[in-house]
Amino acid sequence: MSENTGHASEISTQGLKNDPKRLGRILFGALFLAIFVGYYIAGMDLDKGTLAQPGPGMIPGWIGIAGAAISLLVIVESLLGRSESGRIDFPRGRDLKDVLIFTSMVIVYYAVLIPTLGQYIASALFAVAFIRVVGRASWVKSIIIGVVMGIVLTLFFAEALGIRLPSGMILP
Amino acid sequence: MGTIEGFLYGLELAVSPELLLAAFVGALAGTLIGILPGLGPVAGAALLLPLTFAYEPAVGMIMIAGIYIGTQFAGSMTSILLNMPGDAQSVVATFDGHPMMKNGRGGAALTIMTLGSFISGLIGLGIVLLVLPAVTGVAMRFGPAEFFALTAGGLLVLARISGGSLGSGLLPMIIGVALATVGLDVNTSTNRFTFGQVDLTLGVALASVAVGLYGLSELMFMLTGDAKRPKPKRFRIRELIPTKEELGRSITPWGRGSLIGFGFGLIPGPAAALSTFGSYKVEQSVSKHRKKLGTGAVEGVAGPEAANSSATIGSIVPVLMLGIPFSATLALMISAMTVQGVQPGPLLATQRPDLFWSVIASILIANVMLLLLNLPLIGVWIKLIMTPMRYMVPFIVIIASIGAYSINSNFIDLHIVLIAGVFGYFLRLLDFSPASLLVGLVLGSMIERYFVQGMVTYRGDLWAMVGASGISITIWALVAIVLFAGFLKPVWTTVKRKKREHVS
Repeated sequence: MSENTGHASEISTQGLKNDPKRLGRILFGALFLAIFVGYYIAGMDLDKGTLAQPGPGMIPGWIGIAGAAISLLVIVESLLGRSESGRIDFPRGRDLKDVLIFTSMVIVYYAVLIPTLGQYIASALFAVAFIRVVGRASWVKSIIIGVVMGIVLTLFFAEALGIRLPSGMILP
Repeated sequence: MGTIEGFLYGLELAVSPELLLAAFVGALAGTLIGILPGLGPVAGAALLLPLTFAYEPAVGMIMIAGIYIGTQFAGSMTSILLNMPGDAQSVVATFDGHPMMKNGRGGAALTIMTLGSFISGLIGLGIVLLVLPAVTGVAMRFGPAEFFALTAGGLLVLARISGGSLGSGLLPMIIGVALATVGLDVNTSTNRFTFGQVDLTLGVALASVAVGLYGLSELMFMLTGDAKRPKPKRFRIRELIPTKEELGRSITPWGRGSLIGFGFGLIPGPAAALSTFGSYKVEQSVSKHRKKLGTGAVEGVAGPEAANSSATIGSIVPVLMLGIPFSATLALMISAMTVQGVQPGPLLATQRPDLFWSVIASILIANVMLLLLNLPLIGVWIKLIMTPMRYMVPFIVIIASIGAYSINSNFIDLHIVLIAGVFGYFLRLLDFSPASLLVGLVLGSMIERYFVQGMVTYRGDLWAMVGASGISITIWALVAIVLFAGFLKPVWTTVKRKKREHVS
């Protein structure tokens, strides 16, 4: 993944178009420049206090300024070709599809299924769906392994280790 | 309580059935999760740590120590078997460990590694016991000014030496520090950056950020690399026995590696990774068989693996004595201690001797467990490595959800895992350092606490705080050297070149 090259000046002459990593880092720097400016503004309401008696807003104020400066540094480093550069190992084709499906499944599992259906059912559903869709196993195999995995794992942590897990809104 | 007396007391506690089981479960779970390809010690510890919160402090802490040592060790196993390092410190194990595997000596390499880890663990523990009185003496002199110097300076040093460009370490670090300000400010009981969300009052839990940043994002990478995953070769149990010559050639590298590793463990930075490379360099310079290094020489496995294990133990010293972590896994350890209501620091040994000494003693127990677990179970580990990704991924995602929810029994932690997972994926695609973010998150709140205490003590005089003591001045001077040495080097080189030109 990493392509931290030692020939930065050579790459910088090729322009940003041929260097997705540098371009990505500039965008990342710009995004965080905006976020840290927002953070600074949000922290302005907090009492800064004095140096002898610092208030809750003093450190966030400094962090906002430092964060904005560091974001600018990332942008400048990338523009000057003094940062990591080269290709980004972004997934393509089937890999990209798998990553996107996986991420969507985890979002649904964590944000929707667990709070509503509880850990047992949600885990079994997630495991079945993943093994079937991303793992490309047969329906029978996916259902058997997924249900067993989801229920046994939850049972182990909840009953054997005594960890409190969400029961959901449907089951009592 | 004297050092030896304390250690024996800890050993007595650690061999109670409950704590023995905790060390066993920790070492087993650590090895199990650490051996899964792609999941290194940080991801492994992040996934498992929240689960230790459910137990009483001593049990939880010993499990954490076991997990930490187990995951560190397991990372090197995949290096030897598959030529796939679990993390940076396991890279060196591929140099000679995998060639040994190809030469049919993979089993011996694993035994040398396991024995080396055990022996260096003992040596490291011995050094800890030797230096503990001196370190305690220094640590007792630490006040807000010294702690501020160590936390703020350490964070700057870490961001500088974490590899890559300056921004690659600094940006994630400041993001972590900013995240640490979310929630209730303990000094003034003011809510900061919670935007009316009551769930955020407790702040952003380090464990959930770590699970997302390392665990979830790692799975996203794993999904794209499955096809290229090599299959390990099976070998018989008798192949695990090294020859007399191999054992003889390992003894000195074990000793050298142990000392090098311990030294690296004490300083801020990626100690384990630096120590393995440092030890390999030393073997390249001083070993009798240095010409064979890189082709499957046993010294290339023995030295760095001993250094890896010893650095792990060395790095626990600043955590226990000062409460300051300088690596992502140790940051998790501190976070777990805090959740358990334990405040690591110079007073830990006197205030909670049971906990302090049982953790120290449990390092020895965890090392024994690893020795007993890893060689006989080698067949099981190989089978685990070969588990298809289609089953491994949902298994890990479910454990991650259970771990994250168990931190506060709050759904906000699951949301944090999701956000941190996606964010971590892009962070790593663009070569930023996720470890800096985690350490920033832990040290951020400490820096603020010590800064506020220091400013109140020194009545707002920053320079009085910086120059409060010899310790503080020394720390800041060392930080300045590390930060600016890189900038001064080109100037120095130019001056030297001009001088040479002038003379000629």
